Amino acid sequence: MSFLRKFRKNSVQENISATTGKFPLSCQQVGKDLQSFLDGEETNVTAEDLSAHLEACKDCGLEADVYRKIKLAISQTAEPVDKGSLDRLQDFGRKLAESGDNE
Amino acid sequence: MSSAESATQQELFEKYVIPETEVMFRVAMSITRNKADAEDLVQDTMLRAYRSIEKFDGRYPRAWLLTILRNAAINRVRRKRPELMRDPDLTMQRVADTDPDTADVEAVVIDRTFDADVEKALHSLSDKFIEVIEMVDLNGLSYQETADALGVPVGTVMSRLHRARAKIRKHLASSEVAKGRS
Repeated sequence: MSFLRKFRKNSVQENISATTGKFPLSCQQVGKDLQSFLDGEETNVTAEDLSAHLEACKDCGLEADVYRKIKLAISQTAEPVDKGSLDRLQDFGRKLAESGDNE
Repeated sequence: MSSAESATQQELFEKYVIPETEVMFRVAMSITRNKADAEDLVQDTMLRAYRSIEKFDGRYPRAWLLTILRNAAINRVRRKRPELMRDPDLTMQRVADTDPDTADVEAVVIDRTFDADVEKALHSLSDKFIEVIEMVDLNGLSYQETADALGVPVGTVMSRLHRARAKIRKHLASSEVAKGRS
């Protein structure tokens, strides 16, 4: 790793990038967009810049890990859709499409 | 109505509405907390969609259907409340449906204690926070779709969702401290 890359990486980890102006994102900017980024939604900054910051900054990387785990843990609480209900609704929809609502 | 018009209506319905049945049912479950009411709500939504499908421009069918579903839910609550209102006790016990096949394999290695703490933290939140988390993390809706389903601006969805997760995170941190973990 070159001296400059080492310096940049250390600088990001120490959260001084915003003050030097050498790096596109500060930890504060990342914090604002982090959850939208993890949800695959639009962010104010590019996904590339966010990913690069998360890789280089230990604190933000850990923060991202926590939110990923929270999202995953929540998704694990889900139960499968009731197949009987789904079949009945799809059948209702198909019959409605075929014969109309008779009104 | 002529047979040609009828065929078009049928085609449009099959193209835009039928594929969204499962999503509509998941969202209806999150709103009603009850399988029978959720089925009724989706049927009501389908009927309304059928009647107005020829006016639909074909863009964002899910958003269009979720808006219809929300309006149908509001009408139903007005007609027969409080049955369709959120029951806090049930909220504590139940979780919304989602496809387990979409679960990440990484989940296998997730610490069960962590999962339990997250669930506990989730259920300690107020309904308005729980519902956005359910829409996004359980039902897989985008922020815009969640906004359509709940009838609130996207900014409100973002704000509630991010605050809800931050609260869970805070709860986890205090729970770690309480358990004496590093």
